[in-house]
Amino acid sequence: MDGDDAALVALIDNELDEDAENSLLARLAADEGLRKRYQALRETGSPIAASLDALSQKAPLARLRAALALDDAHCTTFGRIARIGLREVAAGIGACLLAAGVGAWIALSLAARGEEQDWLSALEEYTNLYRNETFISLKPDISLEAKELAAVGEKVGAHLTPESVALPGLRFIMAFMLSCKGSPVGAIAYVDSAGEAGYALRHRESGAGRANPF
Amino acid sequence: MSEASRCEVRAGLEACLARLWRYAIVLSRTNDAADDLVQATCLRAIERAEQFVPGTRLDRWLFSILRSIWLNEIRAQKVREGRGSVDAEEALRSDGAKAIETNILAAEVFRAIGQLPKAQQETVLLVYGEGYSYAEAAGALGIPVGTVMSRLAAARSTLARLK
Repeated sequence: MDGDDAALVALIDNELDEDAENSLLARLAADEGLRKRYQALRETGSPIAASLDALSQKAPLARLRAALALDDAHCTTFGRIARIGLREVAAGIGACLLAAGVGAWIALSLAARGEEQDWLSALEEYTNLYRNETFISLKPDISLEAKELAAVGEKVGAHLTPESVALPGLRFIMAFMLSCKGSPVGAIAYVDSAGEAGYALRHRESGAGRANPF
Repeated sequence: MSEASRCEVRAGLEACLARLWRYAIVLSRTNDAADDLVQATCLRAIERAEQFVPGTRLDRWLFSILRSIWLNEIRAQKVREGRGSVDAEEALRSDGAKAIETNILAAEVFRAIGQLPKAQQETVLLVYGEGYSYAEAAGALGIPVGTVMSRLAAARSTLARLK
């Protein structure tokens, strides 16, 4: 690399201060070799920009958006799930989903967890801070519900649809993934008519949740 | 958590995906690592949305997260796994006949950029791909402005020899 290249490139990029720029322009006016070098360096600009533009157009946006949608739900949940009651309803979630043919799920009521397994205890760290009021304000449409369920189902090895996870007297809030000790946990959140919410959880590593642990 | 920060981060993420992926591919050179890196960046951004100052440049904030994750987490993991590199022509392959000529040139330059030292590649991307000023690039990379200048000059000098 020529010793003047850094200054010439900075001139091309409009990054020289006024004095340095004037000085270099005066040299360029007097030095044909320097002008040729300046031109050669300047001509690299458009191909660089074109190649970088072409690269960004190759971004797998559909795949990235899908991943983002899943993780977006995940993170939303961390910010919204509350100290939740719903003990009676939660106790029935696991059995209902099992009957619906989407695998065995644990019903989790955050107000009533006396005999959780380790991974349930780990979830408490995420859920202790959140408020029921904000959680129940979520009202997903059917397309978002289907999208979230499909994504979670793929992760936990179950075919989940709005119909297959519908539970009597409960409204679907969201499906999302949690991660406990490096293994995925699928979660479906519901709210009842009184505004209390609960989860159905499925831990992929354990094969299935155990219904009604409370 | 600041609701304004959260909303701005959420609203702006999708518009930045392609550029985040481009930065990720320049850093990692592998498609799978780039995907992982973008996903991890988005997740981290949402988790830490309260740290974003509304009204400032979201893209710059996301880039700094992506770079940090690459340096501290994914790079080491991928090196351990021995993943291969993406091929420039594959990365830039076009399905449309109209773009063939452009892409031949782009692929040639991209291949040349890919052969530059990593530090030069990243500096080229930030300044010529993302429009960072020299001072901004220096700040993002943690290097003096003079080093930015020398990296760009070296990169342009190499590419000028292609002609």
